[in-house]
Amino acid sequence: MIDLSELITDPDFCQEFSIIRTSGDYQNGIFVKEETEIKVTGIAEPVTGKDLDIQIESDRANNVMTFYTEEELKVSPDGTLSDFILFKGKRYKLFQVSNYSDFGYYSGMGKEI
Amino acid sequence: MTRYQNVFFNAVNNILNSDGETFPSGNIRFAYQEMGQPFFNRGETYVYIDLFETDFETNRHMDFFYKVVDDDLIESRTSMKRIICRFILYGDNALNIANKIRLGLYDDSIRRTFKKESLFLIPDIPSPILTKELINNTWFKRVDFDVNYNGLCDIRSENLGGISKNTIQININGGV
Repeated sequence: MIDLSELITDPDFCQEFSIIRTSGDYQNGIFVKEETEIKVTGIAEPVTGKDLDIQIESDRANNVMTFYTEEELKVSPDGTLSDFILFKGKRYKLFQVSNYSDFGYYSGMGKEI
Repeated sequence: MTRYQNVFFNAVNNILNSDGETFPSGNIRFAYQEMGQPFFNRGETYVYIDLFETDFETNRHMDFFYKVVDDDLIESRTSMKRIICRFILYGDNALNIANKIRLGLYDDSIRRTFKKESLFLIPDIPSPILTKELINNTWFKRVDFDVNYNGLCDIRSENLGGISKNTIQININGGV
């Protein structure tokens, strides 16, 4: 199998972003989370661009990005929350992850929150 | 609703950890959490508590109370609100746990803890309903039931002031 991870870290494509991984426990019925920031190098690309959603009470914007990295990305793992990606000051919650670790990378789609 | 969370959590925790039985307190959870919460494991039972207010005729009634404090008249207004506690349980043992909670909420000791928070049980709790829910292509037992409470709340308190002593001067035909 071809190892594509060198493309993920190729300076021509890659950027820096962070994976925010949570752990935590329930206290009096509330999930109290702790966050760990993992700085990674990878590729970040827009999926749809930023869409305007006009509602009667406010304008809303939907923004979905795809992230490629050698670090494992997680959606709803046991006992904790899905990963967040911190990119250019915006936080994205991952909702779809693909495991291409046999080819040297993971990809994840996240929506700006 | 946040002010009521502790009393509901403690009540359910006490009910499920009585009579020599134990129930993991981490499996008693509030349904609404802003950033979401972790998924649950098969083989365990989970209790989700969803608290919210709803409209009811008695909500519209308002009581006024007056009392004198340091020569001032204080007006207080109180009203009732209808609070619904919706229980959603998952797991093979969900129906037994739901029935235990339902009966436990009638206990005097539990009702006294609610009374301290000005919450009064409406003693007409429907039976829990067992359904099945498909999650990740496997079936889970799910049980739902609602419990209603009347909550007494202070709307506002206002100092209306007061006159205890004053000098009055009356002028008659320009004289005193």
